[in-house]
Amino acid sequence: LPSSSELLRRKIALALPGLLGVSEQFVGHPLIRDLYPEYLFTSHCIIRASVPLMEAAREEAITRAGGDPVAAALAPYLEQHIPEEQDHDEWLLDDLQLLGRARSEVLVRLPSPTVAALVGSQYYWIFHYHPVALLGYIAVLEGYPPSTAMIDELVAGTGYPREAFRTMLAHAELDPGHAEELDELLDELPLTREQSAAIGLNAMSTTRVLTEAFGEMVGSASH
Amino acid sequence: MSSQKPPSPAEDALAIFVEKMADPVERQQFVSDPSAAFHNIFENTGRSVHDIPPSVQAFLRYLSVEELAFISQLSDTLLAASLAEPTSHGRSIAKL
Repeated sequence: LPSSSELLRRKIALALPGLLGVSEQFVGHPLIRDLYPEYLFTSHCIIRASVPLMEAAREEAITRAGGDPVAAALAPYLEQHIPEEQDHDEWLLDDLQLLGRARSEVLVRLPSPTVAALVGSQYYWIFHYHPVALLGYIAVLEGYPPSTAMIDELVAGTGYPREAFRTMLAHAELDPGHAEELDELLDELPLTREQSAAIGLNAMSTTRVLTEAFGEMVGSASH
Repeated sequence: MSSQKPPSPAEDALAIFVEKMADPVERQQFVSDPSAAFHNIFENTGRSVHDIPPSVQAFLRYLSVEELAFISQLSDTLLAASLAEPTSHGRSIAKL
């Protein structure tokens, strides 16, 4: 039988070609110098919600932990993982500042409804189904980080200093370890068939909406 | 004249499966009894469940009705993705 983590990766693989396609369009885009700050902005809109989402899931898991072994095992994982994701939104603001985008300007700019849907749907899963579903979102966002080769290509293509790629470089280094920790958790959790399906459904849906969000960002360059 | 390669038996069989999964009744039948549903899906199609690699068959048997519904909407990417190796080394611009 495939392990829970292997099964989840296969489900994500079904939706992943679209996201990889958008990634390729982005990296090879002739207007990449204009697009890179837009990419950082879109990423900031998503990543500033990561810690609050995990905190919400941790609180909900603690509330359910008494009679729910999955919630009981989820809470300490999130407790440990939250500090590892702390301040990554600040890194993005620093990267943007290096490109001449002031923090105040970034923070008042409206996020896209697609990003709001991507993040907002996680609160639905957490509070109205089960907080374990958030693992599908985390599996996508931490499971396929940019490679250093991709970042090198972006540095060359944009002409921006390497210091403006701090967030991408950090994730290229950190995320593989985080993905392994998540796989270990998934394989230890006593998931019901429904919980496993919720994680899978959320992961596939996350991949699709993330593809839409970055696709809109790439599309904005030609207007 | 098209230069596209004709679909392989596996791609063809999977396309038939995905098309069937667009129907909620077919999805429910598949989850209730995958073996019987596989037989019914390929009846009179010229294809067989055996055209689908065993690992992909096993994977499909693990899916819920809701996941099958979602996957039926992803038919453009399903064929290439599900017939390939798991893309654990895929790289994207997404990150947490």
